[in-house]
Amino acid sequence: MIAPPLKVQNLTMRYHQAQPVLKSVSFEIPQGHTVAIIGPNGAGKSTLLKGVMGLAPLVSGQVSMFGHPLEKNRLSVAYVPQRDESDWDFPIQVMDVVLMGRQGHLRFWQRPSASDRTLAEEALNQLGMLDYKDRQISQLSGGQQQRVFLARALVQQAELYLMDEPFAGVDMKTEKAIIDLFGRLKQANKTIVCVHHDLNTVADYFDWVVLVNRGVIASGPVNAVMTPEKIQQAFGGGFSMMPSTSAKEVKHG
Amino acid sequence: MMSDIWILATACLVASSCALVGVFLVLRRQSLLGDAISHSVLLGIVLSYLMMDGRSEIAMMVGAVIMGLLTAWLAEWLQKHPLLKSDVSIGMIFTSFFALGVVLISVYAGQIDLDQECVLYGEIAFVPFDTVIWGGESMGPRAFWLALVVFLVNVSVIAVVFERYRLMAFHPVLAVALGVSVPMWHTLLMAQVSLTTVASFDAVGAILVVALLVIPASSAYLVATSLKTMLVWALGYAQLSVLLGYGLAVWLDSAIAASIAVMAGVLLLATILFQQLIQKQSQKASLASEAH
Amino acid sequence: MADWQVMSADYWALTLSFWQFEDANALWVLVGSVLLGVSASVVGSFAVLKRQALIGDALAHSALPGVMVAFMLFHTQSPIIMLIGAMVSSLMGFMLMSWLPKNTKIKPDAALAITLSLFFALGLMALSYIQGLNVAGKSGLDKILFGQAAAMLPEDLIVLSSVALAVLLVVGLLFQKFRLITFNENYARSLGLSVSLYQAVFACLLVLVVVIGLQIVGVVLMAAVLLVPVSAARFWHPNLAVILWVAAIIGGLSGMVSANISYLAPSAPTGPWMVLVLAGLFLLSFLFAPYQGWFFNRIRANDKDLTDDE
Repeated sequence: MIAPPLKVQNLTMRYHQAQPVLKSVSFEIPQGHTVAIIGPNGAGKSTLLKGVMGLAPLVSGQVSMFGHPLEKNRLSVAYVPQRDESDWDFPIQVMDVVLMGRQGHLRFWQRPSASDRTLAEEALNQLGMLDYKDRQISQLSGGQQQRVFLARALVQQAELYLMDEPFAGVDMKTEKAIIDLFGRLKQANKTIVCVHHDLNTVADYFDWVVLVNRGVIASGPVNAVMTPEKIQQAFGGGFSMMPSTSAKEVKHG
Repeated sequence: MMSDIWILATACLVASSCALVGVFLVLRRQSLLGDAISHSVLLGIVLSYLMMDGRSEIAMMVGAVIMGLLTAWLAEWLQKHPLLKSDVSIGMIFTSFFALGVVLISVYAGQIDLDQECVLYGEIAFVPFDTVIWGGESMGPRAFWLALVVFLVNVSVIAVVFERYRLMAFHPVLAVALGVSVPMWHTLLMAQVSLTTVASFDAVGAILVVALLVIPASSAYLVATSLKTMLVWALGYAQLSVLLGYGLAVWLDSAIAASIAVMAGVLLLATILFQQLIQKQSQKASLASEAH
Repeated sequence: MADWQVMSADYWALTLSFWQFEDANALWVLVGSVLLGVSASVVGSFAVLKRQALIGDALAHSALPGVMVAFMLFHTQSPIIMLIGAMVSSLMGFMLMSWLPKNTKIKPDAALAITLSLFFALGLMALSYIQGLNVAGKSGLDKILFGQAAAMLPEDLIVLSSVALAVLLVVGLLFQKFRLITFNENYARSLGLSVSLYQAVFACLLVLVVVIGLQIVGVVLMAAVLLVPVSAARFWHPNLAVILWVAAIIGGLSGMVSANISYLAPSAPTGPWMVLVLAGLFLLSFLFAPYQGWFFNRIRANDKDLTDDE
């Protein structure tokens, strides 16, 4: 059997000297799934993703991707940061942002080649953004910005995609584009892990869930994890999930 | 001997004014605006020389306050432009104003009794020679009286509007929500910064003012537990810097104003070192108690 | 400056002779100033986009004590020794400025102001101490406060020009990485780039241009040469590569004018003139640049109103 795309063992993280944000987190994700990391605000979802990507310091624990530490297979992992962590007034055009995804493949003096450009154009086309390739990024809507970031991750041609809140604050068109993209990636047996905040859409978009609140509460297929008891355990008392049928009606009706 | 006392007294007053005003700059994270205003004030002084055809304290103060407020206002206005975010607007304005001031000094060298060096160093050693004559008698150095007036103004303003300044420094959004006119108090603070800078100009020059504005206040920020104690600490650090700095200058025969600023920095670093040591000690202690 | 008034009469004759390159030294000053203007504006562009517009201000002020201490140790103003002294203390300033906010309650803006004023005070103290010493070759040390291009010797200019060219070469090579890291540092890390290495290289480039700028622009106003060209250039075009070219042209132009002025009035400080030229070019860009200038924005807004009415 091949090693899982993502395996986290005993991960503990903290900021400054306060209480740990995450304590002894362990979970494993099988290949070819779309995975949501969910939990209440402040549960450490984004921190977990940053820790996995080596962007925030770990106190202890191991992360392996396809059986190796991250350094050994950077090129098979693509990260999509939260949209509002970027400076959207930066003087750069859409095409150049997408081409940044190729930088991991290029030596420090190399410029993107014609084939890199073709890749970037294909990625933009998949997300319905090809017409915008010469736009300055400040002229894009929030959803369009998100699609640019996804196109950038796509040109990395990775096996595992880690995304921080890709659905936050996007329009319907972008939402549909992202779901279509997930479908295609899943068909190609790629693995997607997203930090996600909307409980009502989890079952629609994802087939695997990691439920987090300062530690892992549960991890497994959607049906097994999204039970009222476990949700309650993660989100605390008083929280009840909306019936998923009415949620769907609200969303698409 | 007498002149030493005048120099020390002037330096103490200047440093005190700077420390008081600096506390609010540091708390409001506007140290760089203080830096900018201290530079721009030069242009105000130069223009006042040109317009009054000579030195006039009142015109200098008016000119300085106008340029100081103009700097603060222009920086804020430019900052709203999406292409000129953060410190860009501040950097652009004060460098242009300062450059214009220096160029005017060099072009109208005959009319302006200032030189480029004095702009940077201050001439606190010459303070005792420029005295106020009143009724035929010497009443002490001009710079001393200017510093005293500005110090009294600063103390009274801060005493009167203390609550407003505190609210604005602690929580500007809450201040707005409570109906406090933040722009008005901000303008008052900026006027105080400009006045303080111009009073310090003769003594310490345009750039060392920044040291006196920011460094004692930052030291105080590290040790104080309330705004009132922070003001007191800042005054204490300022006085100590003046005394030690003056000693250093006498010992090394170096520029007085620069030595005072250096001592302020040394005191800050000493405070930090002391705090780090204490922190290490307590960490060790807690580790030891955990082990048991 | 007394000779300024005298010079103004012969202004055009002198300018003409300057541009006929009759004076070899003036030609060197011109080359040096232009190269400095170009390299400072290019490197400064990245600092501004990283929201660290005033970092150059602190670095320039921090260089002052290094120059003075280097002179005290070696009793010479040889360009290499001055350069090394300036670099060492500038880097120390850089470290203090980044250490303070990370390890104490002091906020980044105050850390910058503290570093800037403390190092400047140290430098002035050392300078006043040196002026009291009885050593040869100490004259002209104070010229690095406001810069005096005319006082530069050919060997100064050779060092300056080669450093400026080297800096430009490195930026040219690393442009893609610098842009990526400036735009999105965490993403760059996730790609496996050694971000801290690139950042260290960039800090060195920044220190280098600041240090070679001291004799032309001076300590006090160096910040402007780093931050004004890119701010003006952003009004001309939305793309960073183009912006860097425009900034380079603006920086080069200001260097040209300052070289010209230092030829006309050798004792006048060059830095303030250079900054005034930059301020003028910024104002022109702010008002009339085609991409985001006030005038064309106004016209576009009017056109839009008209089409909206239809």
